[in-house]
Formats: sequence, structure tokens, C-alpha cells
Amino acid sequence: MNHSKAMIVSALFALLVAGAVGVAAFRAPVARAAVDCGISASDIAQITAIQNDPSLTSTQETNQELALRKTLVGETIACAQQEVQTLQTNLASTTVESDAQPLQAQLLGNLNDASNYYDLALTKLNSVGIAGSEAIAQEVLAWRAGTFLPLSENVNNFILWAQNQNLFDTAQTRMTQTEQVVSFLENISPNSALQAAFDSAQSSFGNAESENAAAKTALAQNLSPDQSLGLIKQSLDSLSTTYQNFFTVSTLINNLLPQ
Amino acid sequence: MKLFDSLKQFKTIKPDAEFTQRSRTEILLSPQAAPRTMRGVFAFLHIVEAGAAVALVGFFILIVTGIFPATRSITPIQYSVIDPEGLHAEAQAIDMQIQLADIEYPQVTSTVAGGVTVASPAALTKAFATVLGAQATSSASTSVAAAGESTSTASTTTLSVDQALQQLSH
Repeated sequence: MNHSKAMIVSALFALLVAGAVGVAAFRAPVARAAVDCGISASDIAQITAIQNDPSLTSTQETNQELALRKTLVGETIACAQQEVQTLQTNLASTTVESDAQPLQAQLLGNLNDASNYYDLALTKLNSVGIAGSEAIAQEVLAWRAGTFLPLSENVNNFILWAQNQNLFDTAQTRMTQTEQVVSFLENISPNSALQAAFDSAQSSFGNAESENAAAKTALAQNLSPDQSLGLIKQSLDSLSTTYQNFFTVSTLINNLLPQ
Repeated sequence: MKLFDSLKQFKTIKPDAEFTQRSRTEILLSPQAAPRTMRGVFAFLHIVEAGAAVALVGFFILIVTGIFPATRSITPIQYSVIDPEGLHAEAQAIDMQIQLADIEYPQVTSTVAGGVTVASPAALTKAFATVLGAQATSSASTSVAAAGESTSTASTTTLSVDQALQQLSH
């Protein structure tokens, strides 16, 4: 029994460590994009400096401003490309069951589309003037708000959902074992409190499973990220409730067994 | 010389014929030792018997001490079900995942050099999405600029992708 306990505790410790690594990986895109990749306000201020430089002729001013704007817009889009690549790496390294692999492939395809969009914007940047570079910045900004933000959130939600599946598998195993024990004890000596606690555990686990399935459906149907995240949170809350019921069942069984 | 003659006569001494017959009969009727092959089989059976006894004792010792690995499969109680440490660890893993889900990554802020806090790219994108959806194009830039003012002040502050795009769009 001690050997078994040690194995279980070790396995769960490893799960916690993996979870911590997952948290770090989960948040990495945001931090990396803000610190490593961005351009500074002083870079932008150089545009105004060129515009206000009295020593420049009109042509020189236009040429220098255009060159600077193209450089800055290009660097910014390259940063956005890095965000996509980070998401692609995180998503591709996520292990999922075969039934979720089509969804994973679909999201990877959407990220690939996003990357292609940025490539296209960079290509367009080569042949535009100052007003064109401003228009490209506006277009990319609006596209990010309308398309990329929901996509990136859904990708993060999918990774979160995929991580949850191990917890559900573990809970399913525990539920099966608990059911065997409760059934055995009920056959020997029926105990209403034990049966009620176990029924509650089954009920909350059923809720958790249906919410988990609904979250996957929401992700597959490309519903709003808030909806899928809400379902994921609900499923985890229900799973947590299931474990509270497991604790109750465990306590009752301990009381029934000879000390 | 008489003594030697007497000793030589011992060579001719023979047992009585009746005695000889009786002795032979008694010898032939006495129990005989088992053949060698039969002794080997019995020895083997003895070894098997002793081995089985030792194995049986060892098995019962393992059962009694609970070390025998098959104990779980032959007993109805799965000890892990009532193992509070395992339960606690599993519940803790779920709590950690709940905390992870509660992190609203689009609204997370990150601190950069100089102690200035800027919103993450996704957060700004969300803010811009709200602004762009609510305002006409002519007034959007003003609102976006106002949003930008609250997030970035220092000239050395690293801008997010969306902040940079917003400032480069006019």
C-alpha cells in the first residue's frame, strides 16, 4: 500500500510540475511579444522629428518618413508573426486524443492563414507610399481585433481544454474504483449516507463530462472564446465538486472499515 | 606335531546339513532392502513436499503482511479509493487548472523596464475591437489615442504590436 501511495503521489507531483510548466508556456506569448519584439515610443517619435526637421527638403522629408514608416510597420508585423509562431508551437506540441486531432489541425490551419495574412501585408508594404503604409497599419490592426484575437483566444482555450483531459481520465479511473468499493460495501451492509455521497459524485462528474464535451463542441464550432472558456471553467468547477464528494465517500468508507 | 595335525583337521569341518538348510531359509525369508531406483523417486517426492511447504508458508506470510502484489486483485477494497493523499493530490491538480483558467490572459498586464505597466497585445486588441466597433472611423482614432494614453507614457517603453500599429496608422 505504501508503495502504491508513493507511486500515486509521485505521478501527481509530476502532473503538477507539468502543469506549472504549462502555465509558463501558456503565458509566454504575451510576455515575449511585449518585451522582446516591440518597438519603442521613441522609434515612433522619429517620424515627428523628420516631419519637423527644417533642414530637410520636402522630397527628403517624404522619402525619409516613408522609409522609416515602412521599417516600423514591417518590424511590427514581424513581431505579430512571432506571436503566431509561438501559438503554432504551443498548439502543435499539445498532445490530444485522436478525436480532438481534427480540431487541433483546424486551429493550426487557421494560424497558418494568419501567418499568410501577415506575409501578404508585408508584400503590400513594399509598393505603397506614406498613406498606404498608414492604411496597412489600420487594416492589420482591425484584422487583428476582428480575426486574430478570437483565434488566439480559441487556441489558448483549446490548449487549456486538452490539458484538462488527463484530469478527466484520472477522475474516471477513481470513479470506477469508488463504484466497485461502494457496491461491495452496499452489498454487505447498505449505508444510505455512503450511497448518497456516491450518487452526488456521479452526478457532478456527469455534469463535468457534459460541460467538457460542450466546451469541445464550442471550440469546434468556432463559437466565441468567452463561451468556450466559460464551459471549460464550468467543467473544472464540476470536477472540483466531484472530488469534494470523493472526499466525503472516502471518509465514510474509512469509518465503515474496521480500524 | 599333534597340535598341527589337529589344526589341519579344521579344514574339513562342515556345518550340519539341517542347520545349513534352516539358516538358508531364514535368510531368504528376511525383509530385503528396496531397489536403488525406488529410493530416488521417494527422495524426489520428499524434496517436492518440503518445497511446497516452504512456498505455502511464504505465500501466507506475504498475504498476512499485505506485500503480495495480487492482494489487491483478490480483495474487494481498492485502497487508493480511501487514500487521502492521492485524493488530495488529484484535487490540487484540478485547483491549479482552475486557477489557470481564471487567468484572463487577454487582460493580463506585463511590467517592462522602468516600472511602466503596459497592457498585453491581446488586451489592447480587445480594447481596439471595442473602440472600432462602437465608433465611426473619424472618431475612432481619437478614442484609440485616448486609450493609448492610459497605457504608455515613457518614450523608452516597448510598445505592443497593437499600440505600434495604432500609432503608425495616422
